[in-house]
Amino acid sequence: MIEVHLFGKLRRFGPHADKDRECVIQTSADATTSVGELLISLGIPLEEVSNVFLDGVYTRAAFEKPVAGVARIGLFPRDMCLLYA
Amino acid sequence: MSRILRVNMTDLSTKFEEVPEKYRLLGGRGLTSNIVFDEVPPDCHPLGPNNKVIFAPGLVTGTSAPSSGRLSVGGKSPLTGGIKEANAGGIASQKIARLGIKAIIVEGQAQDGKFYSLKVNKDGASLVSADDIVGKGMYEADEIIWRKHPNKPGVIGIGPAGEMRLANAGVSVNDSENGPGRYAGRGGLGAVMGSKGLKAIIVDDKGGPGVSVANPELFKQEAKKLADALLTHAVTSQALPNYGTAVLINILNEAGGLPTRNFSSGRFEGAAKVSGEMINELATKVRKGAGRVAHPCHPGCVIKCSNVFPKPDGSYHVSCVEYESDWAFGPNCGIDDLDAIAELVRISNDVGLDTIEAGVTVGVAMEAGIIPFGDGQAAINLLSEVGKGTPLGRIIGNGATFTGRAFGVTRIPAVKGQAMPAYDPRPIKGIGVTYATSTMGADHTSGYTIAPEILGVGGKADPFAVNKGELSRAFQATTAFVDASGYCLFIAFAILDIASGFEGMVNSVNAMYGTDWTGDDVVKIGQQIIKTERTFNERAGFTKEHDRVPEFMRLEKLPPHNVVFDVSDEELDAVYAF
Repeated sequence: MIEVHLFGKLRRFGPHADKDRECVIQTSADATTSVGELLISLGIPLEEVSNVFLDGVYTRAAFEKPVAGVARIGLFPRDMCLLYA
Repeated sequence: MSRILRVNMTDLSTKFEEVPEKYRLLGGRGLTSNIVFDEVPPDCHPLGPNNKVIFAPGLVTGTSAPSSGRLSVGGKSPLTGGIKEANAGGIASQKIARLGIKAIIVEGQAQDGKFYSLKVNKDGASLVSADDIVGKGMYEADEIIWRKHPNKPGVIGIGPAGEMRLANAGVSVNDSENGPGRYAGRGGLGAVMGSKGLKAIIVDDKGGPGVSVANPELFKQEAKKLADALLTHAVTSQALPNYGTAVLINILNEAGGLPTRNFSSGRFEGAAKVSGEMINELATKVRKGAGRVAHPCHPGCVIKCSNVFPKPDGSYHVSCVEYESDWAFGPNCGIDDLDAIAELVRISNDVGLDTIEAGVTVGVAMEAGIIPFGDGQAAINLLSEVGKGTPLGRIIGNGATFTGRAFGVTRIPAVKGQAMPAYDPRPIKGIGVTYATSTMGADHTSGYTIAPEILGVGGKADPFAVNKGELSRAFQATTAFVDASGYCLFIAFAILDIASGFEGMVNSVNAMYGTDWTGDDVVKIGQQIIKTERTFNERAGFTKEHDRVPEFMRLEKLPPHNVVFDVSDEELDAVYAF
């Protein structure tokens, strides 16, 4: 099971857009699937994502990484770009 | 020509002095720390007659340069026992600079046990009775002062905490709406003001000479380069104005570095409820009314990271709920109620407390079982004791270390007696190196390695790597220069990434003073400031053994990453190898 935590405007791709609680998609994927492929399959446009945390660690070039072993993905949108790449 | 205003509280006299040549190219922190070094005996009691409190605008404060209105307040800290520079926004610093005043040095102590206000305007300076505002909180004090002074002066003042000389008493500066929430909060310099019998400084710059710039055309060009960088960079043009610094709540929570329940976890289950997103939602969409984001703390700030947080009915509650205050009273106390957090910030602003120290202190009191974690109303009641001057309130008002000792708590997140800010150093090692080695005690602003460690600004550093001495040293040196310049530290987000912005920062100072400093000079000047501070601290009794994080952080693993602080002592000691 993989949890995808969505923040800011990316919440619209999750189960709700309430700001006062976590917006989390519960999903699963084949171990060879990349993070980017997973997000596309969930309908999240990669160009709207500024930065990615994998299991609590800020990760560059995360879209190319396989989801194998990843339990939590945190996604922040471009207009919350304190995570400037 | 700038002058120094010297105020003697013992004989209630004021005089203007020429600026010594050695101070000519110093400003802000660079100036306050050098004056403290030159004039304050390192072994003096911080609340005794030999300590001084110094107020200095930055090198470019008072000009049209963007986000340049910061004020440095310096002295020997009652909280740490070492040198202190606390930094604030608000409107007073620009007014001091535009009166042609490079620094205000306050020395001696009132002999009659009374409080005084220092009035400064184009005609000079004088001390007058503060009977009209003594004993009052800063909201009422500021209101009374503006009612009596139609030119809307800058006000630097202390609340009851400062009058009681409590070690967590901060120095309030009013903003453009006359709110008291711009604090030179850290280190207890409000208590130093209180010890001298100085309740407020009232600064009216109407008719003042303004500031002089050696090369106005170059200055305009370079200030624009900096402004362009600030208005281009994603952090300073989008994230901070939209969500305020509290945008970091969700980010640090995701990173597992958001100190929760007195630094016992790095994740808070209620983070979303107190996040920058939620503040934006309530202030601009749900409650509206007085609510506001993109609020500048001083005129000319283009970043505008402040906010006005409204009550449920939309009326004004407090300005502002920023990241550190939000975290200190929120996740750190297990409180997920923004209205309770806002009230705790309002109390701090009124009584005159640093919100970081106050929030960590409440967390330590919760750890001690005085009140339960997560109980917002109990926290409000507890913090309210400070203003009443009750025995419990005086314990709380003396900060986290004092309170921890009073109640036998061992998990006290502090270095050199000063509480840690909102980044747990166990999963973010570089900020821990800064906490440990800063001349100021635990202070994130001394060397904000979070920028590369978490935010990807100015390069990227692995937050878990332990070799952070060099990174912290570089950030501490550059920061010392920025603190001397009068620019807001938040320009660092942009100038670390945009070369023309860095040039604009350095060359705007050059244009003002006729210097030709380079980026390398900036680092050297910053290092010299830190060396001066370090030497003062050594003479005050500090050794390298004081440059350590508390023991529990080396023993207790922090979830969710389950790591301890494992930077070696040798790495910490190497920070000052320059």
